[in-house]
Amino acid sequence: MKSPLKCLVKSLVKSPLKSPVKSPVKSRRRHLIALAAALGVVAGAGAGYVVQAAREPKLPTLVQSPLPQARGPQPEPLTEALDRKVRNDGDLRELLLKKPSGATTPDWVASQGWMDRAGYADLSDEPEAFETHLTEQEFFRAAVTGWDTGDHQVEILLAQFEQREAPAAPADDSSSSRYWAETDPDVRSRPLPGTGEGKVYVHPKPSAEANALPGVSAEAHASRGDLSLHIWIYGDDPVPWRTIMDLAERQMERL
Amino acid sequence: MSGTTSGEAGAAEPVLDEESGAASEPSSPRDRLRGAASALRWVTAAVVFAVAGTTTAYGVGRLDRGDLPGLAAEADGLWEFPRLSSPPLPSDSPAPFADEDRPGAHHADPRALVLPAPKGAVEDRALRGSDGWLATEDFLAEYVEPDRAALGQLLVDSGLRHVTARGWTTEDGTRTRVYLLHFGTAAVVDDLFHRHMAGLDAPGHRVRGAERAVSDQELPDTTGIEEIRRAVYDETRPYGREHVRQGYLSAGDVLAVVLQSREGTVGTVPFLQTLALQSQLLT
Repeated sequence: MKSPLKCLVKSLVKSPLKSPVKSPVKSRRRHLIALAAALGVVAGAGAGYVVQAAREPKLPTLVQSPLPQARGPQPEPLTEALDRKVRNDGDLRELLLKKPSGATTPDWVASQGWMDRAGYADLSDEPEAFETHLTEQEFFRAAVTGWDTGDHQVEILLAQFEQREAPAAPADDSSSSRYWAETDPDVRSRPLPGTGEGKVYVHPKPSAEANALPGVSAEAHASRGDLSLHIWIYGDDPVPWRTIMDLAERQMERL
Repeated sequence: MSGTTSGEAGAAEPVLDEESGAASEPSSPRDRLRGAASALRWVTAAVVFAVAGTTTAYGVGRLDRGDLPGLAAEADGLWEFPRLSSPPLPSDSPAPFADEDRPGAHHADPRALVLPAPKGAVEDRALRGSDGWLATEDFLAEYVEPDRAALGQLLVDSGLRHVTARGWTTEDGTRTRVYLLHFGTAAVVDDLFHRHMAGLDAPGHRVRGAERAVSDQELPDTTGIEEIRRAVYDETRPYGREHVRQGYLSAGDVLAVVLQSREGTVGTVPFLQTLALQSQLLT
């Protein structure tokens, strides 16, 4: 470090003294080179600065160093009122409407109120294919209830899906039931309030051949979160809108 | 620059003429030699200029942009957040992205997952809702009708569990709102994020005060958190009363919505910082 510095100092000290006396041409040459070097540095610095200014400003560090795991008291488990997942993961049957007073329970209602995948698949015309489909759709379980009012029979089914890889499974389940309901050319439908896609159907001719589910006089299908809701009313006579709409709305309120 | 160079040349020339005139005929070999020496001198000067210039420009170009005088200002604007920590977990529950059984599930108290206000900011207590739980309506109030109604129905259909939020105003007048929407599974949030909330060109629903917004592709994501998907939107000019920036994060079973608005312009740095730190808290 020392010697080049010394040389520089020497030359600085020497040159103004020596050169003008000895050779004016040589001195001019040195001046010219020095000037060229100085101008080069200035021009280069300017050009470099312009390039830098045109660059995207570099962001400062935005994140904090890896967050430590806090060791405070454990979080309180959430209540059913605060977390629908806590509620839905509990006893699903409690979400179903209760049998009205005066109605009787028909034989076909599962006594425990549960329906497994095979049972749900049996509702289809092609149980085996449907069961495979349900597996793909990550069907978890279903809660069922039903009653007989004397005028007609009601069946309510609540299917639950895991939604690990098939988030649309509940919506698809509901949508395919609506598709079948709509194959009846005479069917009338209304949107189910409080749902995006849910619909309520009335079949004016319940026992007609064209009805995909002969004997179903009214039905409602909707989904919410991990649940898909189906309501069927069986009977030979047409059911008034109020009956099915009231059932569907009250059931959705519980979900 | 060129003026200085020609001036130098002009100063040198008369001396040469004087000398050559004192010597003899113009085409003598001595003269030619002198002419060659002069040319060589200029070439040397040009080379020195070029080398010095290139070297300096290269050197300046390699420096950190922020180290140069006058270019460091952009780095400022960072907010001073308290030191964050991942909130406590139930003893039998893993961290969100270490959960093999339920990938992306947040088991900590959802109220502890929201980013706290930076130091010096005035907190908007209303966003703490009741006991830390915000009514969905209060979140939806950020959106204009009819998008508000549509989004409200979408959240119901998607099985929204609860909303937690935090809001604050910093000294420069920037108003920040952070909302965390908690759903059943990460797949539900992923679906919601990609199909309904975070469009490629524009957000799925129009925020009040920023009815026209477009995807802001230029904002870098520097967090390096692979599990979290991010979408950011900038209001298109002309701004209304305020400029609004929007950020959406798909973080496991939580969908985070970050809104920042300010008269004038919302700074890039605090917006990205808020998103980055909220991402860290959700990891």
